[in-house]
Amino acid sequence: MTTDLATWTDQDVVAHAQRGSELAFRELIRRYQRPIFSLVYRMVRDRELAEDLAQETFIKVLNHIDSYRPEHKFSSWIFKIANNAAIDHLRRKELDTLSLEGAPDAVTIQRQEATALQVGSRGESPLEELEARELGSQIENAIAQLRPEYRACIILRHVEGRPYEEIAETLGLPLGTVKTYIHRARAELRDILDPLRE
Amino acid sequence: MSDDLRSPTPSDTDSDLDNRLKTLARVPVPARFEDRVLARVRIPLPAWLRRTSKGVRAMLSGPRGWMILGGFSLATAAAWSVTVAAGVHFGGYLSEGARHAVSEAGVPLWREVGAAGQFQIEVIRSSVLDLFEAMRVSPAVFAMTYGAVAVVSAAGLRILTAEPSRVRDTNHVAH
Repeated sequence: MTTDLATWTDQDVVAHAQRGSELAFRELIRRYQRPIFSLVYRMVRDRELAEDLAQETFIKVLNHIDSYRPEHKFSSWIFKIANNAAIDHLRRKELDTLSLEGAPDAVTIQRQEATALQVGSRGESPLEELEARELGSQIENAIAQLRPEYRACIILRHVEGRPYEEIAETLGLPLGTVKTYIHRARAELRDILDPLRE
Repeated sequence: MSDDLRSPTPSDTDSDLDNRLKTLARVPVPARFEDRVLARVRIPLPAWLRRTSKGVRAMLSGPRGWMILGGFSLATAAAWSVTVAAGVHFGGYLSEGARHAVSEAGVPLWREVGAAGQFQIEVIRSSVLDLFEAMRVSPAVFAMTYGAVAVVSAAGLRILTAEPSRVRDTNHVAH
């Protein structure tokens, strides 16, 4: 076997990583950093937060590389952990933003202001401008309005090009449910985008 | 199912929506993301080292673990003692042999290097002998030194067999 890991299959690279090769760890990060970051970023729409969640995903996966079972696809495993991290965050955020006064755990005035629901317009920082440019198209905004489960299905299908079976395995859903979610998500996207066509 | 992974299901055909979906691309990753991740990841030790470490751990945690640990540390200390004693005792012969070999080779540069090396060996040898002479190495001093080497060897073995993974040095990685 050559040391050019870029040509190896995921399974071979993981086996090499399990034997303690730092090069294999690097290769896994290189292969999946962009897809994982894209998925998480589109789910949470916050670049800094997406990086944190993507990092946590890789750390969780790579620190438990010994528990990976080769009968499953590595991509399904890592996407599943990334998706769960994003969904967990969105659920926590949903609880936090139920109050206009700020997060329930906000005990200081600064923390209450930081977590309070923003209703007015505000000046954009360079980071926010970058986010607006990256995710500012009509289709991106329409995807942002979907339920998180639909959003994950659409991103995995249309950005990552994953087959339905793998999306089902990744999201822990029956195959029929995945197809239904994608069908409904597309219908919702049409409903959102059609009025914008004129 | 269709082989084209990006194609919609037949019932979902909508060229305008599909065209828009095709514009979706992966977004770029923040700079040095890979380094930041690796800095926080525990990379397992190489398999042969883990196997050895596991085997030794199993031996040490067995009923005769303390005996094995004690035997290992005493043997290590004995090995060090023999090595140092041999070095001190035969240092002169070794350096003379090396000098002879170098002079036989007849290479001027090597002769100079050999002469410098021989001088250094001689200095170290006489220093150690002087030290022994000055200390008048007693059985007690020898036993203490021997014991200290044995304890350090035992502690080293315990540390080596206790930690099965390594974490990269993170000092140079900006967060």
